[in-house]
Amino acid sequence: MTNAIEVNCETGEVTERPLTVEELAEREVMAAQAEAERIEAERVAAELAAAKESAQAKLAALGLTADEIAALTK
Amino acid sequence: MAITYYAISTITAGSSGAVSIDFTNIPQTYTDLKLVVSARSATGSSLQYLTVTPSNSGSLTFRNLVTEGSTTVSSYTSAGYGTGGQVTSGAAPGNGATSGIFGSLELYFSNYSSTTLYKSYLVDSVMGNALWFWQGANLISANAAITSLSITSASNLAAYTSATLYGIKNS
Repeated sequence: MTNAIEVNCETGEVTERPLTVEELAEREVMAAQAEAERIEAERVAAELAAAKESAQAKLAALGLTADEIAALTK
Repeated sequence: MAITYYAISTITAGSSGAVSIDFTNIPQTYTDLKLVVSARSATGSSLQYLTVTPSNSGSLTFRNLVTEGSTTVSSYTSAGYGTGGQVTSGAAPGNGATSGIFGSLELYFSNYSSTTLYKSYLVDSVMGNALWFWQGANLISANAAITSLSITSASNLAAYTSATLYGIKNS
């Protein structure tokens, strides 16, 4: 089983120990929170990419060249 | 030049990895703290978030300003906050990433030993295998000194993940 590694900075003592029940529960909450954050970040990134692509297509439809569109988005 | 960085302690996970890496009883004799981490997650996708939990976080409010970039998105910025004891502080390659690649994470805690000031800290994190970075400014709305730091991932930290805690004096 993988343990927590703990160092006492005052004494330099390093100990390895299994997590307590409370820590395990806390960790489950944290893992769920981190996964939700990751999914949300990916959703935001995908939305932004789609919006950018759509905007570039509309600009191209208006007659702007690829260089002109690139200049606008820099 | 005066020596202002003192390596308080370094921990490197063994071949079994670690659930967490914890620094406890941090001496209160320095001006600032710097935590430098080389990390990889033992499971999960190519990217796994890392969390650094200071001792005085409790149920207090964090405020994050985060800028991320990736290979697929030129850049984007997100802002958020957390009300729990943990706050995401960066990311590391997961088990699905190229073997042997580790991410880098640095945190700088100002006035960590003060008992009269809120605690702010800076976060810089970069993935080792992708153009992904994270910069954050976090505020812990508490006066209590920081006496411990705990590093965790959404999954276990991989073998040979390491962390060094530095104490910094102003002279």
